[in-house]
Amino acid sequence: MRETALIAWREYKQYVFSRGFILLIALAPIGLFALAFLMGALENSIPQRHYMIIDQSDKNYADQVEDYVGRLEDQRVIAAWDQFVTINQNVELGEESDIPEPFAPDALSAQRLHAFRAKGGVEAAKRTAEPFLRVDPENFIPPRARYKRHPLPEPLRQAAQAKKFSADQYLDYLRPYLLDEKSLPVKGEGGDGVTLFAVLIIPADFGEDGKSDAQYWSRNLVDVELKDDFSLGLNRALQLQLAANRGLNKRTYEEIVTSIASLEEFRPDRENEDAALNLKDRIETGLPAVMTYFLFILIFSVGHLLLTNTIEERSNKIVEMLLSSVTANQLMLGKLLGIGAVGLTIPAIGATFALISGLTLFADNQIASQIISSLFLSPLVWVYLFYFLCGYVIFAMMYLAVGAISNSLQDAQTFIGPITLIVLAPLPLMVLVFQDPNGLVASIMTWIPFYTPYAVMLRAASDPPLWEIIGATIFMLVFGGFFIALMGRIFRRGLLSSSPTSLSAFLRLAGSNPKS
Amino acid sequence: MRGKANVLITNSPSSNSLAPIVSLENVEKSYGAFRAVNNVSFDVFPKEIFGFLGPNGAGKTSTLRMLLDIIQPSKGQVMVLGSNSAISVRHKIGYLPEERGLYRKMKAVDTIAYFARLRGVPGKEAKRRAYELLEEFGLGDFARSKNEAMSKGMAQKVQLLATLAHKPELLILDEPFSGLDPINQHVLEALIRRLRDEGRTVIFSTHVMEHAERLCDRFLILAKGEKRFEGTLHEARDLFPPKLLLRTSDDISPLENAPGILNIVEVSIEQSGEGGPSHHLHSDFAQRDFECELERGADVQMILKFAFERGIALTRFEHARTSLHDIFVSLAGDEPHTPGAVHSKKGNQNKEVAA
Repeated sequence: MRETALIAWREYKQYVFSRGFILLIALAPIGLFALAFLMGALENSIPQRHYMIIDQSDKNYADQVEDYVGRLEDQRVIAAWDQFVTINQNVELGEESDIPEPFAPDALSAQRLHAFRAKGGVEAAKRTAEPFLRVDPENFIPPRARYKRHPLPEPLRQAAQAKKFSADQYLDYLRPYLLDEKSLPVKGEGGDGVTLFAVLIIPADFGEDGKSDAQYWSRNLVDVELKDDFSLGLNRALQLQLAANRGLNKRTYEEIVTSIASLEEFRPDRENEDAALNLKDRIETGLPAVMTYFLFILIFSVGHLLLTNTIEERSNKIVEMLLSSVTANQLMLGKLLGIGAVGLTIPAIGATFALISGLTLFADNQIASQIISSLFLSPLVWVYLFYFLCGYVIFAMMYLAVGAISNSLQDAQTFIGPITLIVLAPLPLMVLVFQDPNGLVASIMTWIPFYTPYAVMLRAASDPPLWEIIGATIFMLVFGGFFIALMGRIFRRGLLSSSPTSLSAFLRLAGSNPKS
Repeated sequence: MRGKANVLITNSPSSNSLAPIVSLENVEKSYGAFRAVNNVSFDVFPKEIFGFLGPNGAGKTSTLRMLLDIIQPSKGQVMVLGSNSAISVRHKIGYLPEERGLYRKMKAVDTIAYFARLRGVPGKEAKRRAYELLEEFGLGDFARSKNEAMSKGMAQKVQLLATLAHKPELLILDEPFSGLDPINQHVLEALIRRLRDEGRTVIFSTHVMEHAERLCDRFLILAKGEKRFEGTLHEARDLFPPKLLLRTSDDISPLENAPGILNIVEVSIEQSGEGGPSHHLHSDFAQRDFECELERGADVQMILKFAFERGIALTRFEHARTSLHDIFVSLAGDEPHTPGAVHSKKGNQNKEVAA
């Protein structure tokens, strides 16, 4: 065991203590902060986009569209506020629900939106929520409004009032602004002015059955968000008009279209208050998907390391000296442990960082504590870890065996394709297993030993038939034992074999009496 | 003696009364239908330098690998340091394989310490010994250099030191001289002798006979997977009849009737081991070289007298000792030697001028 540990440690050290890896670990938090900063900077660096609306109708659609776009901006602000409160609430001082409405995090209804605006917006929210937060509410910086309506230039405004311009004439006037050849002056500000992002032209007969369409003009054909907002705003304006025609006032209409049905999820395998689906359940259900994905990543990255590492030892002839010091099995196990640990180092650092942060920085945060208890205290985690390790060992052995008979990566290419196929084959089916954990595909995947770890991980939280899991696991262990022994045999024999790398050599080495 | 091969086997050293440190008994290794090692038996005794000689493909490396338990024999028994598995006594064995290699990114001192640790030396002690050895062998300044930054000779030295750091009782060196310059070959020869003098046992394989001749207390000759000889150089020479080397421009045929001479063969100047432009004259007066095979115990003084009496003017009269090279070629060749049938024509003999 000492020798295995020594080999594992050397393998681990050579990668983890390399300059590149240390630099990666050191730079990862800096990189994450830099990324977050960059995202924020990018968010703020996106210029506020100015638009104009030329409304030739006499139904005041322009103001309604502007109001709707503004409402969407407010929704973003409230969503950001809710997130800020959820993260920074101080549970010792009160629950979220103790914060007076409409400033407590809640669903985004029209009523709440109105109330939020009416009661003073973000500034009032900060004052109201301050006693319930563990940070200064002034830390909350609302997202900047992305779109701003720009008033029509004076000649256009006069023309619009007089209704003497056609749509083409408006466009002739505004085209240089849309093409960035001219900039719009900003009222009360000097400088270069702003760019006109888009123009919405609402014709005089818009909305009447079979008549003209509204027109959206913009040079930017990729960012269609404003176009969608205009579309929704115009829809709403028309719906309001229709509602009014049928005798509904605006308030009643708003109540109808923004009413939200509340639907709570329950688990039939639990009773009373435990039956309601909570965050912990969601984490436990989502965790296997994350671990399955992580297993894929680990197999590929560590598999490649195992392959190159074994090829290097074989091709630089050090393996014979190693084999005079340790058994081939000790060498193989040392590699599996050491290089497997390399693959787990970054996630382990991440998990440790998350745990420490959760226990210190977010100690009084309900979500953080639930995530921590789900990640580190749930018995399912041990089930996931067991299958995760089984999956890793089975696939890693393939890479080791191929490395042991290859003198170069080029030699190994013969086998890398089929191995990749075996590893990746279940990927599209895993989505089906995740969606229907007790369906036919899930059952079939469970009984294929290569994919048992994936399938069981994805099914574990959904109470699959116990006999199936136990049976498939025994089958996987028996098959895995045989497969590992076979790959181990190829590894042992292949290391000193002078046979050229080929499928026949691979099979011959797996046989009982190979010619090396 | 066990395991008789189909040719020469001499007895184990009669002088060595100690129990063997390594013992192979009727060992075979087959790869499919190919038999790489066939029924080989030999013993290595403590504190001796044991040569493992054989041409390429003779089965030397396979035998050494079986000895080290890196591969398992198809048949037969291997005992090393009292154990039937070298792995269980690996801390007492040092092995330098024929094909050399080091971890490129590892430092020299770490490489030596790593292999010492794998063979049971505690971490700090392993490091200390690694530094000591590097210092002793003139690589102190490169202790913290990566292996990839070293010259081939230096890297080879590091690998050799890695086999010594755990102070093994038994050292197995597979072709240790290959790739070394003459100076380092000399250093390695001195090291092997020193190790033997310190009480270690050294087994080394080679196909360069000069090293074996200078170093080996005993040796084994393998060819085509079979043992052809085991014993001392003296014992090997005893297998071959004594020889005389003669040079004359006269007719030498009368000497065929001299007492003790079995056979006379003309050899080229090069074959006789002596060159020089003057010998290449092709005239009636040109000097010619002859090799005379003698009966055991033949009186060379009588032969000299016989030549003198018949007017044969000899410019060279040497009592030739059969070289290990000749022994090797004879025993390891395609047609292995059987006693009394040695007709070596190759030169490079070690010569002693008869008194």
